[in-house]
Amino acid sequence: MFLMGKTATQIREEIITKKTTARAVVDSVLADIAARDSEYGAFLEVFTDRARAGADRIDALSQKEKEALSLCGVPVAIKDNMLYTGEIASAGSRMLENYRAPYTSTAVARLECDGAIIVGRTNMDEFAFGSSTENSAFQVTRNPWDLKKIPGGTSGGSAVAVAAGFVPLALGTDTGGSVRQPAAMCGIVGIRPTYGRVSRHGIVSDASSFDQVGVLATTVEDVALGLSVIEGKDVHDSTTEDLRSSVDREILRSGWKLPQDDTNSRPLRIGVPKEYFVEGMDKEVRARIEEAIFVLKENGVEIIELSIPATEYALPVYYILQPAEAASNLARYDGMRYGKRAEGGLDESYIAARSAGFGIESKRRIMMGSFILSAGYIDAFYKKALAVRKILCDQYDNAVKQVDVLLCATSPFVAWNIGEKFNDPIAMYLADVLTVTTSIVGAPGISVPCGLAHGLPVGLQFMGRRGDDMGVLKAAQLYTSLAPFTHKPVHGKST
Amino acid sequence: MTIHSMHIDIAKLEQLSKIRLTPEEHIMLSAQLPSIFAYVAKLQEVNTDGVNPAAYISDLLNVWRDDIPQEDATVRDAALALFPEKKASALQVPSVGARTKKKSVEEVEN
Repeated sequence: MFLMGKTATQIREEIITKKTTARAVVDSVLADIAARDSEYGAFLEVFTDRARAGADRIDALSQKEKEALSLCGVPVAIKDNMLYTGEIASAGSRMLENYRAPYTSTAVARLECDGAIIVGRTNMDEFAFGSSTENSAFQVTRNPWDLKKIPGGTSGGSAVAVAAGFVPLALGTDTGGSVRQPAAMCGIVGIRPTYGRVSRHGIVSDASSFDQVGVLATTVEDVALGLSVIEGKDVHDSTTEDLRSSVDREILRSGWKLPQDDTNSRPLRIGVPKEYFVEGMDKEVRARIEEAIFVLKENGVEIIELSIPATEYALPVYYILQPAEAASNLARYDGMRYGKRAEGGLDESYIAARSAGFGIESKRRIMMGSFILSAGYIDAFYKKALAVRKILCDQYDNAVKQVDVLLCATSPFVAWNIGEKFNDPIAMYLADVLTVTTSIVGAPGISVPCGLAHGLPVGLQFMGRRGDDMGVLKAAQLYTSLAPFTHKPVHGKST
Repeated sequence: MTIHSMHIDIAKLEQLSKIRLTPEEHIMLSAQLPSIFAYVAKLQEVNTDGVNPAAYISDLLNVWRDDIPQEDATVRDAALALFPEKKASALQVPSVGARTKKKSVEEVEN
């Protein structure tokens, strides 16, 4: 393994100081993927020639030009639902297996503009429906900590690409927890930014009022670096905004201080919503979270127990609104303009293309959405869920304004066996119970590793105010500096 | 309250969704969908009188942009190239209601 656990920040530094070249980095990453990824199945495709050409372009730049690039020569993996001109973006679906992107998504374009090398696209649950990456139409992705376990989902390929040491940085998307959960289960860091911080232009839509692009890496610093590159208003996505506090690269570069030092010596205040210690939570996971709370307390952080009473309704709200929005978004897959055209008259052609192109979870969610939005049930389900969403937003805002950030586990359990929940949709949906709230309210959430349970990584989640991504990054940075995660995946080393 | 008399007609949902399930999928979803909807129907417990539904969580309102067409011939050509069937630079689709069988993509390619 060439990268030897190097971070994006370190790789950039080595290229700029001429210790290595972008081409040498890319060549070794490509060789590493070719040698080891058959074990994990993280990548669906590697952009070999394009990555090499991109690296050569970086190496040909002047010193001054290189120094201006935040991700100069850093190899990055992207999720299969992100458009990158000329490359296939299949969103893990047979429906799009031959779909070539006519343009590049804003997030990926910004990475490239800042010197990143896009090395390949990673496996995911079809259309980002799932919590384990098992819904991919193409391959199984395995957890580097135990190859019999799922990597979490839906950005499982991106999480494994980082956790197994192929790349220091990857992009994922998070609709109900799809960046934070695989980050937790693979022992890395993953952020879901505030809704509107990162453009959704060129991202295959799942549920539009929830979808956000997120960043996965091994350190909080790298996650902040990646986010600082892709964030910001985009003319192609009118839901984006330049939020009041941008992800501050100066704070990043000058190193992190204890919050006591930079918030007028007021101790950091962290809220622990009591409803987040859910029934059925793994005892070992719970113990790790309590230990994390203890470590923070010992170091001067003020821990405040508070309540978000509507938390128990978050999952039902999500599993009404998400399928409703997704079913509407997936109506575009009719085989007419792209995808699988089937024979027959217009209606018959639609039906044949959709029946053959979608996997079972997509069919399940589309039919859920059709039911929820149907004339007899739209009031009882869809409109009711929108109202409860509003209640949840108000309660969340009220809780988080009393503190700097909130804290809870990312998932009530560690990675489970491949196949274990595949035929039990409700059990699979319950895996999202701790991540959907931030998605519903549009707030930022980050998962950082906090020890092991049953030999597998546990994720600690910080959730913040809408727009205060720096708040969750700071809290995450503080925690990881107090309790560094030193464990390494058994299968993450090169032979 | 319609939830108590909830009737899930899978055939109707197939029709609305433009999806035809295989017999195995039909059996599976007939068993699963009622329990999923029974679970999410938990929301009926919540009193939402006087609550303004939040379809959208951002504070943004009326985001305007200049009405200037942005044409990019490369993107247009790439999009056209994806069309499974086309005539000149127009998308060709089966005629609405036509009973004549159209050639499938595979047959065209072969």
